[in-house]
Amino acid sequence: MKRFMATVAGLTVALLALPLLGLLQRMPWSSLGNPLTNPATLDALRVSLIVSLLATVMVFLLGTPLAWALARVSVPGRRFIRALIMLPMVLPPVVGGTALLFALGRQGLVGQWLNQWFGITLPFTLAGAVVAAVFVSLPFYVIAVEGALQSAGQHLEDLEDLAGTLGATPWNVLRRITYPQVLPAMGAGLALAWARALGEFGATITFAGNLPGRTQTLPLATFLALETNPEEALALSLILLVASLGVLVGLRDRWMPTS
Amino acid sequence: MRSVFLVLLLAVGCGGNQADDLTVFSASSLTDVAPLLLAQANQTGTLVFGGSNHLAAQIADGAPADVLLTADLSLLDLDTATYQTVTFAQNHLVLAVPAGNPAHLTGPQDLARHELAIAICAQEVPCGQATMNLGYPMAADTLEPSVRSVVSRLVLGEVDLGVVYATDVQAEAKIETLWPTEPACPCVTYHAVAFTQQGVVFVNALGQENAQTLLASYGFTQP
Repeated sequence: MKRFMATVAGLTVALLALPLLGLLQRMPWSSLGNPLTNPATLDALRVSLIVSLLATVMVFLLGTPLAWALARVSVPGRRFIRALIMLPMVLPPVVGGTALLFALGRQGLVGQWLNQWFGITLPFTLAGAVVAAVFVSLPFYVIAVEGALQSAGQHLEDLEDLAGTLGATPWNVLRRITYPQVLPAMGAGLALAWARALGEFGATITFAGNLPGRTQTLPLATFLALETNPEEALALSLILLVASLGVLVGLRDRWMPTS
Repeated sequence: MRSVFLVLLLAVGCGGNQADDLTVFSASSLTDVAPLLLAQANQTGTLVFGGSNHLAAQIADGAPADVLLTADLSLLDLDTATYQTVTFAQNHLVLAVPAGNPAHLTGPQDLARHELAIAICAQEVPCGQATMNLGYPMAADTLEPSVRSVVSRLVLGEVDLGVVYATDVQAEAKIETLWPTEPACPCVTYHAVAFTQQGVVFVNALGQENAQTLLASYGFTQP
């Protein structure tokens, strides 16, 4: 039984590693310097870093109260709300981007008022790219933190109550009791959300468009480079690959003890 | 694209094709008009649509096409002199706006206005190359991966101005032409290449008047 499972597991890992090997095998190693240092690539890298980091900050600010509320507040239809929050994980990002356009675009449900009242248009702006990235990466963080709160469960709530009865203020309880319990999950969730935001493509190109230096992130630059310059596309993929793999290998072990 | 090709191969392999059926590989920009051209020439057959570069590659690999309708003859890696070839249509870029021209634009000079939302094709794709060749100064807000996505930006009213093909405007009621660049820019010239005797009949028919009238009604111009 054990041997069977191990064999299947081994084959599965090989299956997952195969496309990666394919990519690395075609990588123009000797001429990698050119595409990696040309201004267009550096522009895309800069936009990608700004967008993904801003998105991660937003995810933290918006997602933390949301995760807490999902775990602690009992409202009718909580199951539905949870499904709604997870939807972007399974929705094709292009559909997400189109939905964002219909909601926040210049003619969108809310977007037309943003435009009329405040002169704010999100499509074709860096802020629009951040919105797209937040939309797709938020669930990764919320699920991680909510899961941690749930699994700490009644025990954690008892501790919080106890601290309260001993005179700790609510903020102190949060900081000294709750926070340390979910800190590893928050870290892991943020790392995942960042990696997802960095790799985001479909919602970004649909909602925020594609303009070098403003909304063209690395995945968008990679996609367009494939049309004319496959070598450059490969080099760009390498940046994404290294960053994503780095985050997953490095941060997961630190924040989620592998015992 | 490749999967479409596989389906076609299966159909041929299963004997689904009649002896006098024509297999026509066609550039996807002819999607609406190609079936009508085939019917007009009293031909039955299979149409395979795709990007001109993909189609050319498949034919070079020996795909069983009687006719190729291509937007770029130079992509075909064959000695075209040995095949009957007809230049049958042209398509050119136009400046397009959402129907009714809500931003009250007037011409190419609007392409340089930063306060407008403007979409054009990315220069990595053919329509973007053609747009760049227009030589207008442009303050684009987004460089789209295909001409279809520029059209969709205009249809959704997310941009005030876009550069698309004349045929795109003809096919889409929600956009209109602001400024035709014709005849300065005959940007795409369509060629029909016949690889079989039967294909020659169809290819020659494309040069005839009724085929040309049909093409004109879809926004193509005469070569």
